Amino acid sequence: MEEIVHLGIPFLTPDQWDVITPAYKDFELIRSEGPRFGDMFKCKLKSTKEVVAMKILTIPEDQKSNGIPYSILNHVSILKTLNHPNILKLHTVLRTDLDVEDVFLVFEYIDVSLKKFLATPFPIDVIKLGKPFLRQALSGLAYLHVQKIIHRNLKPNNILLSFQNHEISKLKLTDFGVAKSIEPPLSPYSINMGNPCYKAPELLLGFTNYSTAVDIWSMGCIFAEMIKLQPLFIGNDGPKILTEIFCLLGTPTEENWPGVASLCSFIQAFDPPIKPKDLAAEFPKLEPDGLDLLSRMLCLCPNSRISAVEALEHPYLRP
Amino acid sequence: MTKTFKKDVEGCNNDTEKVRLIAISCLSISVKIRMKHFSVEQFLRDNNLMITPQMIMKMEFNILHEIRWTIRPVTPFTYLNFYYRYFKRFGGYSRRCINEIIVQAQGDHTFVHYPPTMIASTAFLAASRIAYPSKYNNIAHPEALARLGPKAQVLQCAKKILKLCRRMKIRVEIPRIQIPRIQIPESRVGSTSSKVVAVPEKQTEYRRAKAAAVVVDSSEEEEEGTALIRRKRNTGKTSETSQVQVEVKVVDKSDKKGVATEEIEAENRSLAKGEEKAVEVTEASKEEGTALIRRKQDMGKTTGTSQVQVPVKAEEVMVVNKSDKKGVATEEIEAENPSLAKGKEKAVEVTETSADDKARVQAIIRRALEKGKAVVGEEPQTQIGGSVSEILELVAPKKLMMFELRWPMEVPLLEALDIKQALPEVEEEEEQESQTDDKGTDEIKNCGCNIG
Repeated sequence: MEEIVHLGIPFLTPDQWDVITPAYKDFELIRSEGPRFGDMFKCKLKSTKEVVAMKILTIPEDQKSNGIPYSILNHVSILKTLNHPNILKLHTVLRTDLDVEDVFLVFEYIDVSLKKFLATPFPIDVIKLGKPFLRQALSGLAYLHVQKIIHRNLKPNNILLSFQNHEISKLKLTDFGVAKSIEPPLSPYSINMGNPCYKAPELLLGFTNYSTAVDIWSMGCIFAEMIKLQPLFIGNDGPKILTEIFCLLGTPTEENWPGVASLCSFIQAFDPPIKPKDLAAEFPKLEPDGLDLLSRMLCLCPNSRISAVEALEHPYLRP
Repeated sequence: MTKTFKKDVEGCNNDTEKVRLIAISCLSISVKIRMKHFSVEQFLRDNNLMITPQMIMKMEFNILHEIRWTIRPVTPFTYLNFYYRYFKRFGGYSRRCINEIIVQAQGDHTFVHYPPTMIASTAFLAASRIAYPSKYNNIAHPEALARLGPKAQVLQCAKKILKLCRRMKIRVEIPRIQIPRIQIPESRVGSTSSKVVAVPEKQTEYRRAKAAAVVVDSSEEEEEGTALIRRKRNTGKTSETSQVQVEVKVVDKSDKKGVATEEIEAENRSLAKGEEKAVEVTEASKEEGTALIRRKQDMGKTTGTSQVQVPVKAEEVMVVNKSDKKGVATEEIEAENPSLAKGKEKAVEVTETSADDKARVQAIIRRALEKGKAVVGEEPQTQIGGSVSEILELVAPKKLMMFELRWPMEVPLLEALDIKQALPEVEEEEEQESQTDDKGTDEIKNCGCNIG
């Protein structure tokens, strides 16, 4: 069950070591996502022996003239406002002392991401664990959405799991690097972040005024992926994914998505519209209630898509 | 504070410079959270400040560390949608006005002690008092007030906010179309004050409010109406499609069994050609311009009608397929009713997303998205997509915070900073104002609120 591809000791500058060695030890690189997202490593807090995960955010040279960059302010302040059992907790924030170059985020440590689980030869038994998984993931999401925060980057890598006696003991949503807090004035939102496979159709169509429904879509894709054991929509760019979506769920029409044609006139070119496929045939293993919930999470029209709170009340998830 | 910040105010010579650094750092944190494109460097240069970005960065970190990065405070804005659910029953409220009331209240030190929930709810109360004076009795019903918080505190805060609105001359707008609707009840209330009339009055008022609500949330009520139609349509459609789908499955099976003859394939091809042509025409017309869109739409209609015909024939086709399975020659059937075969073909094309279809869809998407990007880039404010909330949609986002800030801008002299002395004077002034205000509207007293 060890996710760690032993990447060894993280490569850090002397300044960086100076910040963390006084309080932490036993460093081990666990994820390397390139300089932009920062390396992740696990280490031990010297005082309590607690294992924590640490992420380094480096302030780019060209942004230093602006003080702390917006991205870091946004990222850390969102993490700090969140306090929920299904959201990875940020313990502390450290920084290099002399000349601020790096910010260190110290998180609680959870061993494995859903992605690794799906890749193991013995993946999660969805029939048994699908409900507790969705229940926990959606309650984390419902909490986020009540706080008026959109995650915008949900994918199997960003859902951490730990198991006990073949039950999910902990589920944590993580990586709020591109999360967005909804507050007036509502400027157009960026549509460029996140993995296209889990992007909602409104994002792929280029709408900049989307909302929390984009996270529900991603969660629906993830749930479907747990059943299929491969991403529901596969492709490396937006148009390809959009094609896959429309071929599975049908093309949007004015009836099922009011207003779509006025924004994306090309929708009219799908004439006659492509009809949705039968999801029951696509997911034969899933019980009818589960299918219903999945279809509501994968509703093309964001305004009709089920919300996290509603989903938790759905018959499939009711205990 | 002094201990933590001592080493980081090294570049500053005196207390004024230190305070300035701290103040500017606070400002830069908050401004960056609001707007992504704020340049601290530019700001420092424009104001000829002897502060470097490095100093700002360090101070920002210190401030953030001290306040534990909690820079997303709970504000009255957080609760607006919550309270709006109650207030929208009585009429429309412009989000911009409510925002203005709250922002102006933030600039007034006498509101510091009220919790954000109270500021939010009393902002609505004050707005209703100004916009819907005749309904105020209903709105500020004692039971409703009791649910907003400790009664005395709510009333006091409401009073203060109302005075603030009047003092700052905040214009409380009512969403447009409503105005004539409101004038009618006003006259009625003036003539009839008895309770008996008040009951039907309430009903009509409610109806009006409902009608007004359409103007305001523009989505909810309307959606209810269209939802019904949509559902009807959908039920119609699903029955169609389900039939078609069943049909196609049968066709597929028969295909698998190898009954499908070359003839069918041949016809498939010819039909596929027809289909391709149709697509070509639609695409071409799209490219040609708006004038041709109509033609395309007409074409769409014709294809639409042919689709409708499909389910009617579906049963027949099923019979045909049964015979297919039995191995009966297909020639005869096709000869008998070629139109049926066509219907069958159509059904196949509509429901089955073949590889060709996929390519077609992708081609359309790719071409359109490149065009679409430009459109989105030009007009990013269009109201679509995930509705953030009903109330947020009312006004174009840009205008929500468009108002003049009327906070006292001049820096008071140190002697004038003795707030305790200044306070009672203000209170007295307000008292006088309120007395004159309340003469005209006795309703408030009637409903058990002692504002005087």
